[in-house]
Amino acid sequence: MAWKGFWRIPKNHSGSLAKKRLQVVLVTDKADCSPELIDRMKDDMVRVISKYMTIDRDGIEFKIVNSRPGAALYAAFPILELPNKGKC
Amino acid sequence: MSEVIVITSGKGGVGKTTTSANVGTGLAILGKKTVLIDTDIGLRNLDVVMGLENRIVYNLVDVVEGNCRMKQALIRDKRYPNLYLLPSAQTRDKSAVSPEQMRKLTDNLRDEFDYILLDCPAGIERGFQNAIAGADRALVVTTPEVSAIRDADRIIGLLESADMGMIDLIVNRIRMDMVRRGDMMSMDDVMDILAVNVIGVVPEDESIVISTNQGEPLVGMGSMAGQAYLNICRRIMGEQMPFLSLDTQPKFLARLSGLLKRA
Repeated sequence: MAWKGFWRIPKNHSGSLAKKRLQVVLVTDKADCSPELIDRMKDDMVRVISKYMTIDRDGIEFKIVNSRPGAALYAAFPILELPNKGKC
Repeated sequence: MSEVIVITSGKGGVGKTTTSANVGTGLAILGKKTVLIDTDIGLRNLDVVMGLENRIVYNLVDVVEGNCRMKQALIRDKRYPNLYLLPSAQTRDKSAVSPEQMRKLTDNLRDEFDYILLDCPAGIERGFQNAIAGADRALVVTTPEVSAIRDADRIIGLLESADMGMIDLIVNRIRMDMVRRGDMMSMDDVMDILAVNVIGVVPEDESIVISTNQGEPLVGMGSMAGQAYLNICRRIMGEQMPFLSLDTQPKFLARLSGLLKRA
């Protein structure tokens, strides 16, 4: 329903900001893994994947999150153009 | 079979003692013989939250040092026939007891009690090590704030490396009005961040302040927090309980938004 949003009070996002900040800080607390290092790793992966397919660089999701025990790397690279069958 | 449960948090002021008092009382109401142990040596508070401060003769350190028998130190709560408190010492410090002594103490209580609950001090030092030494399972209390969650994560890590059998989270003092407008992390957010099972969510509730003023735990009473605590107790006992709907929208507004959703 298109006009549903009309009834809602405009949303503040300090809750989701807190969540994002925590997800970063909990990983850097545990491991010697600065946000810069994570960015470098992301760039490396983008370079490798781009050799094989076209991805949407603005839509990438890339984060290290808590999992028990330890942590897990979650990455999503939206594909703009799938390679032909012959190529891949 | 008896279970030793430590209630801990890392950060101070998130509601460990209130949670201990209410969960302990709730388990007793549900028919389980329960003893609450205040392990915060030097900063005792569980006695006053329980309203039992005038009945202390001996304390935890007296028992450990052999100045009295366990039976003499345990305070029976006259309001609940299944509930006992072992108060902490106020004039000593955390080093008065060792983790090994705590393990022995809790093991000695297993024969007589269904649940042995340990109210842990804030911090990750000796007091924390003492409190977790003899525990089979842990309840980690947090609030939906960055500082409390960061400390909870640290505590969960320490509990895991100490091979704690079971770790559950209680999200305390949640305000659904703030969650709704996006200004507070929800239970799901906290669960995502900490990657641990949530055993209960307790809403911010002014009746908690009143009940603490009176020295009477509110578990099982009419308030939202009272119901939330009783549900936590049932889940501790292994019952499947749905989570409370903590929405406190006025009924008219709730109906209106329900109508809108259906349209």
